[in-house]
Amino acid sequence: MHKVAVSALLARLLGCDLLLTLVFLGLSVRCPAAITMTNFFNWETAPVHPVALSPDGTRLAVCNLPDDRLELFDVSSNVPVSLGSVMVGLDPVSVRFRTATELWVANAISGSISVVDLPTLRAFTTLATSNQPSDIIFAGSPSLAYVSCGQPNLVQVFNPANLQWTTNLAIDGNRPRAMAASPDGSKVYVAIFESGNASTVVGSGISPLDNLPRPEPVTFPNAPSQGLDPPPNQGTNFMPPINPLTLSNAPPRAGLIVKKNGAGRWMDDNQGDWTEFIRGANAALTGRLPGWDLPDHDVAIINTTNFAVGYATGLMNICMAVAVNPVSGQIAVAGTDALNQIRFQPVLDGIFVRVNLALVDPSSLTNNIVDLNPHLTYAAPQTTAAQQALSIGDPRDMVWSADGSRGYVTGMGSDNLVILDTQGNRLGQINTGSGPAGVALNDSRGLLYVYNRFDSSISVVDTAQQSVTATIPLFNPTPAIITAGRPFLYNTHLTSGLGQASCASCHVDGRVDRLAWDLGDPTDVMNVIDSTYNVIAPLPVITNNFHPMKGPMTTLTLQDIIGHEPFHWRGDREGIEQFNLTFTNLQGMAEGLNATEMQEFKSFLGTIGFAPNPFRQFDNSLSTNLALPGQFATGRGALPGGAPLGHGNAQAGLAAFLDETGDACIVCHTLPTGLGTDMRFTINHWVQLPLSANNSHHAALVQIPRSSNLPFKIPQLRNLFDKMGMDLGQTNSRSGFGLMHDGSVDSLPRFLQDSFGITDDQETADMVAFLFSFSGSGLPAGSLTDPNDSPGLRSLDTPAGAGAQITINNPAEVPLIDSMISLAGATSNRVDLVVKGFESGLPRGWLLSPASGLFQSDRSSETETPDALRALAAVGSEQTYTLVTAGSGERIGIDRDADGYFDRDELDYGFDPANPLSLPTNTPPRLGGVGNVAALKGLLLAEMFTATDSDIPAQSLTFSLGGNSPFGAAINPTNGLFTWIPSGPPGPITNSITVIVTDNGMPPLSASATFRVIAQDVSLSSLKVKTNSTTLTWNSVPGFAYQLQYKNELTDTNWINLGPSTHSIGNSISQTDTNLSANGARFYRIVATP
Amino acid sequence: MKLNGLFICRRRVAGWLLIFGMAGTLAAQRSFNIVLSLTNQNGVTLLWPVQSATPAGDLVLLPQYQVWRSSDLATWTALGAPLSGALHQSLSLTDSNAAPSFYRVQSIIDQEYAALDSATLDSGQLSGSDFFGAELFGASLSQTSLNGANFSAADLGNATLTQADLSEANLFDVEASGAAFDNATMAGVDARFGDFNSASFFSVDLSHSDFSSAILSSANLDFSQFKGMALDSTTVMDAKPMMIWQIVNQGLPAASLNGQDLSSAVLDGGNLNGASLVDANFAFSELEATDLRGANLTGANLEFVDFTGTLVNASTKLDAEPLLIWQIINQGAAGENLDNQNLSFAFLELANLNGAKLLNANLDESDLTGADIRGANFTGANMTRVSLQGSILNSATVLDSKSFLVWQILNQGGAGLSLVGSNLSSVFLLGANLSGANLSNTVCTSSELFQANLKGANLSRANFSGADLSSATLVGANLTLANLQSADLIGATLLNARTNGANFNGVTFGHTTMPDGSVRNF
Repeated sequence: MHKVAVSALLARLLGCDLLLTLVFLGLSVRCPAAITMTNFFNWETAPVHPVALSPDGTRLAVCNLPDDRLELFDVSSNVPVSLGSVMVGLDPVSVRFRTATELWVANAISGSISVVDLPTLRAFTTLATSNQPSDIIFAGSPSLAYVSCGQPNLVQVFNPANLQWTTNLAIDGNRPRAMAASPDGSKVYVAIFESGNASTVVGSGISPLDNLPRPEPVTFPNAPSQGLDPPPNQGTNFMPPINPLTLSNAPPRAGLIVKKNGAGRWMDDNQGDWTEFIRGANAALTGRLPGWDLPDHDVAIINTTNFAVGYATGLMNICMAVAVNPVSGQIAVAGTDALNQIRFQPVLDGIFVRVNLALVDPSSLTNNIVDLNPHLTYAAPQTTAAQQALSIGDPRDMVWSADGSRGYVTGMGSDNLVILDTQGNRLGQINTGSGPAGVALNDSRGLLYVYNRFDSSISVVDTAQQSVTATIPLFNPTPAIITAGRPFLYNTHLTSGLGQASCASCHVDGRVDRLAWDLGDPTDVMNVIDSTYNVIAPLPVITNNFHPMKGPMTTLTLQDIIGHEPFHWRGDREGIEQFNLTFTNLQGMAEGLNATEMQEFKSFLGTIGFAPNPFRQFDNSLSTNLALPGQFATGRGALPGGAPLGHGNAQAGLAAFLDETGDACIVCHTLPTGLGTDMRFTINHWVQLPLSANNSHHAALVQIPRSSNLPFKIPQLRNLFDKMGMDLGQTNSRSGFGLMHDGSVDSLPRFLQDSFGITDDQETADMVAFLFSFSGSGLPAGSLTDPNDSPGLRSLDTPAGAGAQITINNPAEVPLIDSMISLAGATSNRVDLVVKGFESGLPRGWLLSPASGLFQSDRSSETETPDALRALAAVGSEQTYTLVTAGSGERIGIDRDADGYFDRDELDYGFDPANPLSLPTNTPPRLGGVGNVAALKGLLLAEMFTATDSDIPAQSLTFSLGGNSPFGAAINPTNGLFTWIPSGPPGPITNSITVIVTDNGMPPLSASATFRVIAQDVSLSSLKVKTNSTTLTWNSVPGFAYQLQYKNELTDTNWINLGPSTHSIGNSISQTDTNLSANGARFYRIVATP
Repeated sequence: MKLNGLFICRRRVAGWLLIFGMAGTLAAQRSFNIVLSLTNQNGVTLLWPVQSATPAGDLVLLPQYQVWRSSDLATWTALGAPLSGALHQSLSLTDSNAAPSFYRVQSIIDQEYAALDSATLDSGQLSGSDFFGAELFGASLSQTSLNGANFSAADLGNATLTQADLSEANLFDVEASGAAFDNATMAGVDARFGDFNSASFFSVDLSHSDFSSAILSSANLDFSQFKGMALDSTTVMDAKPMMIWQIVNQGLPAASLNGQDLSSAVLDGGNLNGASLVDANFAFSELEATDLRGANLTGANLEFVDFTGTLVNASTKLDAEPLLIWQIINQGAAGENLDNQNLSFAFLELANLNGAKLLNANLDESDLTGADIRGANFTGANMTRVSLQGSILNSATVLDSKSFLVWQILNQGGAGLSLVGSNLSSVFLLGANLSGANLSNTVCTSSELFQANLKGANLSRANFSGADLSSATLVGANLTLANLQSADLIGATLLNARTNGANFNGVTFGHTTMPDGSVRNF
């Protein structure tokens, strides 16, 4: 008893039910877990082309991104019917049918392509790709597979005939992503996601650490700004006017954003022409070469015959989706463009981003840009609710009808899709589920299938009715903390006055738009730094405050920001809560978030982590020989300027980073984030600063000469490789913005050499290699007693090996698998190793147990040695080994719904492994109300019994009678209809009858109830005959109806009713017959009916 | 005198400037011979060689050549496009014009945006060259003629332009942090918006230059001439040079500058009339024609100050020793009795000490360069490291034997001399020529031998402990068993020197060329 009590208490503490019934099932007793951030890692990956329809239109494939699976549906009827799913890789983002039965899936985090056989639902091979595979297109003759890889800016080509890599095609643009093919397959079009918008910064670069900043070109007398810094933005005036309260505080000298117009002139927002300073005779004054340009490549065009690459240019900033009109061949690109060349938050309020469609002629490459929100005038930051509801935001996928007359674009941020004509004119819009990010069209059936990323569902849309006809949920393991807060990042209807914008308009997918914005506010006042800020070097002197006109600042990523406060480049916002003003003052919301919403937003942001670092080695270590493509010498060392920098030794770079002599990086940039310390050095040791309001931290700011001794937050260093692309040393640059707050430093070599006087090429390469390898943690911890090496704030990132995959089809030993086992089996493992394969024809899963070195299968009672597991691999029974983040292996490998019961156990017992509510614990059915029943002998007694069962999926229930049931009693096993005709000797007879209902769970459980049937006779209790009447009184049973009948002669053919029947409400009934026959005699009978 | 690793010798600096100074011109004009010959058709053929604007061994910079013609020396017409050729190739141009004409051939160096990081262009003739936007990080342009050159927007970070002539050059928006312009001529440069953070302008003529909006923070501006230099409110300059600039250009009459650091400054012609300068530090500064009338310099450090022409009056408060120096420099001390006077660390160049009595006077570290010491009596005087370069003496001059030997070496040369076992300790032998001399067993402890020429000298068993041999030439010298403990060998060349058994304990190395040709920096 005591033990039971303890168990129950333990169960309560664990927040679960401890069901003793499991013990005899042979299942290990486990706590039904939940999907939380301990077993789910959020990279906030965006789908690219997550829905595909088979060539015959009968099968639908959907990337279930959070579940790492490909879902297959039979769509031969109007409602998709699930055919099952197959695990692919981490964060599948695109799927394409190669044939009617073969699909290719791009797994963004795994860096792989899963090739899936549809009939057998098995991933029979995995192709390793470069980093961030994003989309796949089959095109050309012979047909080849083109795979866009976002981070290294490549398109990789594979031969699907032999599954071999063919070649890499370099794309001169940042993040090649969505793809489409020309109707004849001769061209592949690759949308360049972070393509830029031909805007750049007029800035001063960077000076050495302890030097003052270099003069800003804006201040030059011969510049279009006429030496005024900041220059006015409306003629000779500032709009809005500068707050008189700040006139005594000169704005900091800052750069200026300029943008190339249609005539090729580089203009600022006050019609200042900077062309001579950007690419003309004075280009050197902005650090550029004559002829410098931003080609603004938006769509790469690959000739599938010779792999030549051309470009369509000048379309927009973020090219999200591309589709080709199957009739005209016209290239359609949907995405967003930014008005970042316009200064000041009040001017940009609500209107800072456009959602556009670019229609590009495939021959001439001329384009026509259409605003997908033609109903908006952008005259004010807000519009009516009706107008706002029409808006589309964050367009992510597009499909054309077969006749080319209709285009459909999904708005992931606006929860809708819009219907367009061939010119991009709006024909209608349809609301969908949350986060529509992919769309496929079955033209013949008039149905669209929309993948809703955020609520993980499929909306079936009738194109004729322009309405959703069905919604099919997918299993969604996304923790509630994410789903609750996500809308505040993405939802354009919820968070903007015009319905087209959101935080994600600039922080695209929680990351960046690769632009700088000047969001100063002339009307604002100085923001005074107080002692809550952690300002170091010197400690803690504060000499400057935050001016409201801050100059251009590049967009910062939202990855892993929570807990790393304060925010912004300057650290001028103490916590995310202070961004409520951004919702109202920049996005045009009428009201900001309430406290609950802000907390949900904050919690969600706190889940976004960094993806595996592609520059780390498989085991997350730093390379000693890291290739650095795209990094060039500045000419200060032995190599001539523009020469490839060569390989770098990241370990040597780390040593230099930690070297406390000279300008030591580690003094400011703590590990593993690069952020400043959250501590203050007191006497002889570092002391943690207490959290301030809203649990905000105090990552340090610095005031150093090169930033005019203005306070800046020490920036984190985990995404430096995401900022490459600007190049002032060549005439063509991929990006207009690079490093530093204003984006004016084009490359890491230049940053390192200008800041720290490094002139040795190898030393530069080593440091670049380390900085590229920064994310991934596992770096030396700081010291509580070293004033120059503080312990750092934690980093939410991923070891390099996470996502790595290999598929085998034979038992041969594979070195990579050995490495995976070694990595996941280590005591301090940061990855789990899961295996998906087959055994005896059944799809199975396994998880490596570091403790035992054995693979735990998805049956709790089974384990396998690595060799034994591998021995199961065969053609048709392929095994895919995948490294996943530590903690998520059990969910991904053997317990999909994380309910604590392994998948095969659940399947064995008829439960759903993709439903945490479907547990093999089997609750018993419940019978409906059962009471005693009165019956009449000889009359059929019919009683309907009902029962319910709470188990999911719904179980089948079977009714039966207990052993005490009288002869002739029966019950329908399916519908519970009990029937019996009581009989027996005169007088009341009572029968006890037990009804049992049994479910089909494992084990089957029953519920029973016993009721009494009291059977009586119909008996006359008195007969009173008078001269003109006869009164009959008989015993009755309530509920029965009694009909008194008579015959005058027994030989008469029929009995005649005497009056209406009488329903008994008591125990007797009396009825009088006043119409006696002439002879004064009648024969009576009483007929009882139920 | 050494200060911060640089030698203070103002007269010599001025001499260098005269030697390497080039007249400013708008276009590059490099010296080469032009041969003119008449053609049969009354034309003229001009013939000239293509030559590098830099000396042999440096980066070859070949000009383009533009031929101009004029009939009146006032209006010039270009003949054709600029011509180019290979090194040593002869270029020619024939002008068929029959009219009498003047011709000139302009050499043009157009290096806009050129990648010349770390290039060596020393002693080049690059006047009027165009280096707009060029990458010259770490380049060496020492002693190069760059007057009128365009370095706007160029990267001269860490470049060396010592002794270069940059007069009237365009340095608008130049990046020159960490660059060395020491002893350069930068008169009239346009350096607006330039970044000269931590650059060195030691003894640079910045007169009439324009540094508006420039950054000069942490720059070394010691001994730079600020007269007529333009700054504006956005120019960033450290407090000390800014104060010096104000004294020179705006004057700080009656200012309270007590305790201020005004050392190593060129305050020539500055106005400190009536200023309070109590305990101010003027060490090594030049006060030629500086107005100190009515100023209070009580307790001021005036060591090695050049008082030539300094304006003082009865109201000027000067301590006795600097007042004596001022009098010697400006009024002469011929025949004066200066016995037992403290004249240490005094700037007495060209002073008239003819017949002066200096018995037991303290002349420690004083500079008697070019001074007239005929008939002067230095008996018992402290002559430690006294500069006697160019000083004039005669048989009546009474000098101790060591000082006389030093005078001989400096003024008559010491090449090949046998000085075995001599005592040359604590003497001033800057730039002395002792090549091939025999200095074995000599005692040269704590002596000043900066830039001395000791090529092939026998220095075996000599004692150079604590000596300054920086930038000295010791090529092929015999240093067997020599004692170099704690000596300064920065910039010295010991190529092929024999060092068997030499004591190098505590030696300061830096850019030192070792016997095997390697360069040692620590």
